[in-house]
Amino acid sequence: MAGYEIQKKTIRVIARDLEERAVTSVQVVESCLNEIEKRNGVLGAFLWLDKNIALEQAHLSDQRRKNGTTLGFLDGIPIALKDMILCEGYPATAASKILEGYMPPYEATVVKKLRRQGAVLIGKTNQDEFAMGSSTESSAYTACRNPWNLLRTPGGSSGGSAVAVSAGMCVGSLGTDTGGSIRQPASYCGVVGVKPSYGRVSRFGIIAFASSLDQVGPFAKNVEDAAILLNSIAGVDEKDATSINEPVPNYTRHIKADVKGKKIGLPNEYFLQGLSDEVRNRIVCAIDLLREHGAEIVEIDLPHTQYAVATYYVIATAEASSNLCRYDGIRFGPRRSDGHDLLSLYEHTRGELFGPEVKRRIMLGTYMLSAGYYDAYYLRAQKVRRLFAEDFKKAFLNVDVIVSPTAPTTAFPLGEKVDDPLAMYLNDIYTISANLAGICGISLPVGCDSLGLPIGMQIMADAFNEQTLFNFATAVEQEIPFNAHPPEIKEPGAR
Amino acid sequence: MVMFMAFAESDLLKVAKLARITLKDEEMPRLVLDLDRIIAFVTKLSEVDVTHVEPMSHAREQALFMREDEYSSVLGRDCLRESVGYEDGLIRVPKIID
Repeated sequence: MAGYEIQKKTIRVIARDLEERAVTSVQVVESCLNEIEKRNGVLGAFLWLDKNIALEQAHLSDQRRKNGTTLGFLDGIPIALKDMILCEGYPATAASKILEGYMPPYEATVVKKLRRQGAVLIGKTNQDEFAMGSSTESSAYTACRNPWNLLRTPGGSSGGSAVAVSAGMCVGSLGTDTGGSIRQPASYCGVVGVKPSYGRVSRFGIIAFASSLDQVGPFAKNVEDAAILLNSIAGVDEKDATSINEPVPNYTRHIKADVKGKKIGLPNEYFLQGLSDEVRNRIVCAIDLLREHGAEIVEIDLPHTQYAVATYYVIATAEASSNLCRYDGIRFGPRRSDGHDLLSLYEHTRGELFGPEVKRRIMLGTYMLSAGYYDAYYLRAQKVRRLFAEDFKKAFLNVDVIVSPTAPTTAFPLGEKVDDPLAMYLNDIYTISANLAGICGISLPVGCDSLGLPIGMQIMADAFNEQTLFNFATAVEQEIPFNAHPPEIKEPGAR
Repeated sequence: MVMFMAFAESDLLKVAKLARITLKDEEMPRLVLDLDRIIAFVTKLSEVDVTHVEPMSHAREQALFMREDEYSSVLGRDCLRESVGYEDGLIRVPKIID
């Protein structure tokens, strides 16, 4: 079958086609590779891929199917990995020059799980350097563009993983979310993205940014695919002591789109200044539809919301300054030095190979942790963090989910916030709290604005209630089917 | 309440030293400005009453599980091979003590 049209097909459909021998994994993967070849030069979604390695996995999958030894539901399905995720045989750079050429000697638990399912790991995707950013513009390697409008950001930090799914370069992908890095790019690129509860997915083999906030999660074309992918990576892991030993339900089997009698919390603080009218109206429409289907809408207060961004940037930068100490030219990546001593090697390697945003955050975190400032900033932020967690705990006593926009606007123009770090940080206002509180969240597309850019709706549920997320998101998806696809690129290379 | 003190170039140099990062002269004015603005912004945390609030260092505070105290090799010495200073199973670094 020449030209298997993968762009609109979901994991569920492709798995069925593979099962019915309507297509082979090699054909599916070739279709993705063609799309990548055609569009990656412009979109910058992938940092690395090797066609032969991808096709070899597809070939092995087809062999297994022929022999009746198919491994799992994802067997033969191409999945992309954010560059933060270690995968044996694939370089891992976290989009940083300080890890240029690094080949990890082991791989992430999530990657092992995907391999066990037979997934084809198609390549490594672009991101903000060390996941520090909200636009993928801090990648040290290449620009990443939004397939809906090439002059707009795809969001970040997992921009490449969102673009790859949106543009049909793979069927699903994994990203990481420390303050919204899965949900916000999902929102900007018109795909579904899930930030699982802290501890739901193993962080073993994930390059660390802020360890008390980081989680791995899926990008997919619809809610069911996202549930399939989360099921394939979730669960306790003896190699990650922060992973939690809670049973993982079969999300897809238990999806129930029934919202009748369920309570939806609308945080008053999330619908205030800074929210674009078009985004607000679209979210309100979606909420009205849920109300028509029997959900009860309750106004709630999350009174510490105005401190979310400040709390997050103290905690995340403090943890990052500590986590990124390991990149000093000794064990990983290239070295730089202007002298003969060890200190010069450390300082020049880090000064020359970290990008501006990473340096800014390391220095901010170092400052917050330094003598004389620790109590005023870091310790205080940890206390305010508890107040956030309590705000959510209280809210979830009364409601099943909390609904909001994923981001205050649709995708913003490339370059718009690059020179204004604070404006970039404020873009994360609705997503950050879920990481601080350790709860789960999903973003799903609910329409487009007048410029044709996707609008994302965020649903949050209490920790380990991912099933509730999938149920509500499915109800929304059934009411507001999102069938739009990014426009074809007319002139390759056009800006 | 914490009074916000303007972040100066001398603070930047101190922090850069602690963070083991060399800075080029042309990077400094911009960094001072950015860090000053960001620190002024996060100083608003001083408005929050945190009396009797315990710090929260982790999203899940239940006791983390422990493993048996048994040696298990996750990575062998092979992981050293990724270093550009790798030689004969060791990593060569510049002289540390004169």
